[in-house]
Amino acid sequence: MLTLNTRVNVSNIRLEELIRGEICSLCRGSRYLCGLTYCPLLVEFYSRVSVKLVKFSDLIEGSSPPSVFVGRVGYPKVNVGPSLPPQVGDTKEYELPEVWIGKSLEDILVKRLSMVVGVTQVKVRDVGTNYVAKIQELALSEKPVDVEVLLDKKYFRKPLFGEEVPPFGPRALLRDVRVVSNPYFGRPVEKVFGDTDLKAVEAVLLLYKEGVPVSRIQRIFSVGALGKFTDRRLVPTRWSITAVDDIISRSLIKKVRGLPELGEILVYVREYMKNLFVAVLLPGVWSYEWVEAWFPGSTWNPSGIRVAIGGDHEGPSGKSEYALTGGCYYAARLGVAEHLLHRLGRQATVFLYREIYEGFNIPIGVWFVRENIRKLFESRPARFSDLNEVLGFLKGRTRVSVEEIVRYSYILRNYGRVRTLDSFCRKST
Amino acid sequence: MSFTAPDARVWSYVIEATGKFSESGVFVLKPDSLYVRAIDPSRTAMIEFYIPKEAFESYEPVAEKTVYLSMEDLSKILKSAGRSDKLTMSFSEDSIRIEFSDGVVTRMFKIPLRLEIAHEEIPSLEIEYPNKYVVSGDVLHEALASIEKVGDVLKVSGDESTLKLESVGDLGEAEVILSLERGVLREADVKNPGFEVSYSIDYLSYMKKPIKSSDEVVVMVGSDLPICLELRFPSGSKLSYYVAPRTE
Repeated sequence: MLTLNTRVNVSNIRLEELIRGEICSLCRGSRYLCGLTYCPLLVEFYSRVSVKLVKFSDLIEGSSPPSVFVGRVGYPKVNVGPSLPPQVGDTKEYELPEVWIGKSLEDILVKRLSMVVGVTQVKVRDVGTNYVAKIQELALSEKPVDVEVLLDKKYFRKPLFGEEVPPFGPRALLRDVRVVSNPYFGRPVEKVFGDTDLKAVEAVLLLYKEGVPVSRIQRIFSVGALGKFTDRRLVPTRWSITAVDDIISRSLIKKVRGLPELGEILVYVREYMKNLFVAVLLPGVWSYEWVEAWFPGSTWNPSGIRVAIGGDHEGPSGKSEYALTGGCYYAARLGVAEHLLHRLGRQATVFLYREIYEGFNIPIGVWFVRENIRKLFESRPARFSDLNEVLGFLKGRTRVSVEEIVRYSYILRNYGRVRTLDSFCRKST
Repeated sequence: MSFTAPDARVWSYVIEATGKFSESGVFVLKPDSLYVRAIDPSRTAMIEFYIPKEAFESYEPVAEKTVYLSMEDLSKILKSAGRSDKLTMSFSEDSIRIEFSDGVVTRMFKIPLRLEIAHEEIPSLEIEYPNKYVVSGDVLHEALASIEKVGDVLKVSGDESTLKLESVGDLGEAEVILSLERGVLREADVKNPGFEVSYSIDYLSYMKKPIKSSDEVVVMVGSDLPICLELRFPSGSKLSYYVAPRTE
């Protein structure tokens, strides 16, 4: 139904003049740090990838995986609507990042970009309307839901790509939506949806504890189906993804901080789709750092001449400001917190590092980081007793020199350099 | 068991700063004074806020009592303290009642006492400091604020008449010299001139707000020793903040 056309040399924007790699890798199309009112990288990307409608009608029937989109533009009045491929059947994998690792990017993109999003504007607090009730019914379902959407006119915009969200296909204004099949929520989801005295944070944690996939919790969170009755509201998809990663990882870290410290240094390395992931778990109390190195030609450093490195960190008491590196920071933190709590049963000082090479040049969503970090920890670690041995081990494995990585890393730079106050105490209370 | 402090804003600053490095803290109510103590999980920084009975408008401990509190929860409530608010805290078996009053309006909050709060064992530090400098809270605040963005290490050195704070990082180098001659230092008592010691600057930055609201700060340092900032407040209360040194 949809075809992807690649056009070359279509951009008239003098990217080199507008973009500094470092700024782009921090901003990622969401904060306009370069001073422009649009992101030239996304514009350039959209102009290269155009989605053509081959054949379409006003009425689309299909099985939503389930999937919904809640926009952020115009907040608190946002675009909300169902997303579905124009086909009926088992479409679950269209929106389940937990199973996307191992599949080709083309496969994921073809699936995602074939999903049409029908949207209508809703105030985020209007969660009691019939329309939002239908969207919630759809979003809460455990299995694909057969849906009919009636589109107002054949007006399709470019597909949606973003740093936090998985890609979405073209969007159209929505006239009506009808849920055809009977959605099944499952007991835990039904419980938290029906409990209007339960705080959203507690509801998220309860769902996670019940084994509901993180991506599904994020979808449920975004349609205003959680929390106390008076507090329920729609949450833009990209915000809900980071909020859920943050809520769950915070809760896990609270437990991790009560665990004994790791007794040796563990190093994990994973290469996947022109990305390198490295984890260094050091003996010590919980502290965490996420550093990314964007090579020239990668998503957020397309025309740079040198590698753009950036990161952020938190101490044992966590972080109150939003991380400089955005949603990836929280997605990766969730992956490592799960590993420390559920597998190692130890707390550690954690350094996570990612290199993104030329050719990996589309914004695909933070699921890519979360799921790769989870996979990273499924591998067998190398074991060391000394940080210098670790640095020697990493030499040649990372393309950025180890010295440069240490220079950028707060944790590696400072590890083992601070004494404790215990060596100055006389007695304890 | 309750007390009323005349300076709710100072309490707000101190608890907020403590919450930045420690999840929980302990209130020790004694007949003649109150201590609030906390240490960070990596045992690098420690705070001890001492308020003598005389610094309160009213202080009524029935017996000695120790209460562990979440600094995060407490900080959320104390953040609403206004400039002219008084703070009253009343402790019962299962909850704490917190009241702010500016003489016209009284706001009341109640938080449950959470028995399961994890807490660190807090050491008692007794360190003989060879070097002591007295500086106003405003000046030290300004000095820290101007150099904290440059790097993550604060190097402290000094002699009989000057205290030097330096930071080196990717951005460059920053240096602030506080001298007795120019009247920036109020006092200097130095037995070990030429000392040099480094600390993680983050931990010192946490204390900026309490430092600014204090009358004066006694900076106690020495080679290979933790730094101790003793903040003195107008009410007579005193805050001692320790940060362990780095090994370079």
